[in-house]
Amino acid sequence: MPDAVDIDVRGVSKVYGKVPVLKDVSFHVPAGSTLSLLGPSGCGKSTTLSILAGITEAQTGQVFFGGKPMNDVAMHRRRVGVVFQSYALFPHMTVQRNVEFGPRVQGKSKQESAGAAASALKLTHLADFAHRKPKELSGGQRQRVAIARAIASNPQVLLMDEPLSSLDANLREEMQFEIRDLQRQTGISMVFVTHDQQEAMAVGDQLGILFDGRMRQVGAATDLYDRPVDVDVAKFLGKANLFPVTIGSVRDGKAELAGPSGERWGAVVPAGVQLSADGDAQLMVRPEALTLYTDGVPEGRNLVRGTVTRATFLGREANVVVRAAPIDLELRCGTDEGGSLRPGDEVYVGWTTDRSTVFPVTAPASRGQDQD
Amino acid sequence: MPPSTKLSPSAQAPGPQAPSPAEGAAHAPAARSRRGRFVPLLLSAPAVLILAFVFVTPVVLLVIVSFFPNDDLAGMHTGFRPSNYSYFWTQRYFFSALGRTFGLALMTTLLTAAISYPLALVLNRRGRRVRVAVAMIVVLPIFVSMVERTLGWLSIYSSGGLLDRFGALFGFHFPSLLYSERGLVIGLTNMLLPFMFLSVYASVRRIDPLVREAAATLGASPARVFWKVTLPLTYSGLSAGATLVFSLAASNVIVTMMLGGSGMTTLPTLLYEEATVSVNYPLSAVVGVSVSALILVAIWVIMRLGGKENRHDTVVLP
Repeated sequence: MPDAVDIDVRGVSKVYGKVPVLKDVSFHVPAGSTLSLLGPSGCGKSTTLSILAGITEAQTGQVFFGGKPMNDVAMHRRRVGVVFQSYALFPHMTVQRNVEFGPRVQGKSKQESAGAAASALKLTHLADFAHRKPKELSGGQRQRVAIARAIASNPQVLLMDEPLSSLDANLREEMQFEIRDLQRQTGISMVFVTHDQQEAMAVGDQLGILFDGRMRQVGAATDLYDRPVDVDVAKFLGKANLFPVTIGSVRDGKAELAGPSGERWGAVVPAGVQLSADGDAQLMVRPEALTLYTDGVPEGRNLVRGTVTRATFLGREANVVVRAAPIDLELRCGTDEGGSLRPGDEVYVGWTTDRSTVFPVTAPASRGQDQD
Repeated sequence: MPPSTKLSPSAQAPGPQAPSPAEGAAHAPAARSRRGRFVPLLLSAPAVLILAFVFVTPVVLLVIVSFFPNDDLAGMHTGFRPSNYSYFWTQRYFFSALGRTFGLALMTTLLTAAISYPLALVLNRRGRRVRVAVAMIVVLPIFVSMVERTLGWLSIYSSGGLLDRFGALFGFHFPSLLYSERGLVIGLTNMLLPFMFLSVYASVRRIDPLVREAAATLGASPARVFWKVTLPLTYSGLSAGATLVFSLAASNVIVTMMLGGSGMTTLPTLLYEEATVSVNYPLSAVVGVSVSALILVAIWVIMRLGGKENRHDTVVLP
């Protein structure tokens, strides 16, 4: 596609008054790919987007599009397509005029602008609505107009700020796929801000997790899900079982460690995580990575002994809670094994080293006040 | 179930043939909608009656009286004399009064808009405290009597007044504003500024700031954002303010007489003189109808200009 550029953010910080909103945020979006910026509200993700668009100025740090510094480029010269959460359509213009606005103010001829608008409206399935006013459209249609308007302005990068948060669940899912397809068709680099984990995974090639103004981790969804670098990321992406452990030794990205009752386990050390020998750490394993053993324990597995406290039949699977002091382990298993369990049953729970992760003990992020 | 029996009597009061709950539910909406149609009429009836009495009736009377003959000796009597209009509308002094009324009202409208609009834009970007404080200062004159304020302007304009003394400090002599059109426009602007400011400010506040930012990210320079987004979205406020200010300025008597002096003849002062000095009610009614006609035409023009807001989608970008 024409001119997909990569997005490079280096050491961006932002303070509102005395409140630090972004602290040394860096990330890279390869040309033609999508990064989903994910985090709880108030984590600074909207501010990051606003800095990329040039609406907000960063105190320190730099933004590059295709290697060109953007800090001193005014927002109307950055060639960014922004889709706002509230759509921010021009209420006094028809859909056609809204979408044509970008090319027109950039000095394109009437025919060229109309052509750009027509193809953007076609991409977003809005061709039949060109002569309506925004107020005559449904929420989903307005959302499409906002996307069409951003695309028609032929931007270098596309920035979306929680664009689906005001749509109902079904429409949301549909729009996630449409946005994904649209991004692939146009080949434009995109940053997509959301607070919804599934949405972030559905739309992004990579996820970037922001907590308290810090970029905690950037990577593919599977990496982040299986190998989070800290407890916040682990919990934010799904259910996490966390054991307090003591590190024995670290070698080749794997750690030998001792469990709460002296069990000997192994775990993967995520890239970028530093662990010191004999230090305290946390072991994380997802519920679906755990297997339950009532009799016979296989070789080569990390194991812990526990007592069933709750077994809930959920149709296709069963949700089981096992008390393995000092924590309660949550796990999923097939109805055949899980259905016959009773509270008080003694069991073993096992998992493979590859599917567990270890990271240092950190205080969980404070849920900062809402900045978005 | 005590609570339900407590609630039900009103619904089941009719007695033995009380409708079953299902029937009651089926009847209720129909009854409500039948009653519903009359409720708005009933609620608006007092206002409609009062308006009919204090507004429509006088206007009708005004038009009727404007056709009555008025003879030097007999005074006003019933009859139909259209020449009242043809006589007045061919007088030279009518045209000069009409032109002056229109000019003063137009200047006042433009001046209030020129002050209000930038102020509203700047204020919109300020914090809440500044916004409230400045808005209060602009609106405050409403709480001071019009005559009092006009006397204030007189004391500023008069020879040896504030303006003269201020000029003297720098060895400068201001041209006298007393009994001049300029001085009058300043006075009218001072009086009517709140009306323009409030409606313009409200329309500026209503614009979603993200809409302007969206325009900028699409490539519109700040000037383009203003002409293509901000201005069209505030046409309604501007035209509402212009309607108010123009009609109030074009029908003002007191400030015009006090600041304009005896030579400052406008349609409203003419009306006042015809009614009180000449005691020629039919002719003063003719002037009254003329003032109303002028204001109606002005409002129509303003609405046409303001209508651009709705026609904007067909306006071609340069």
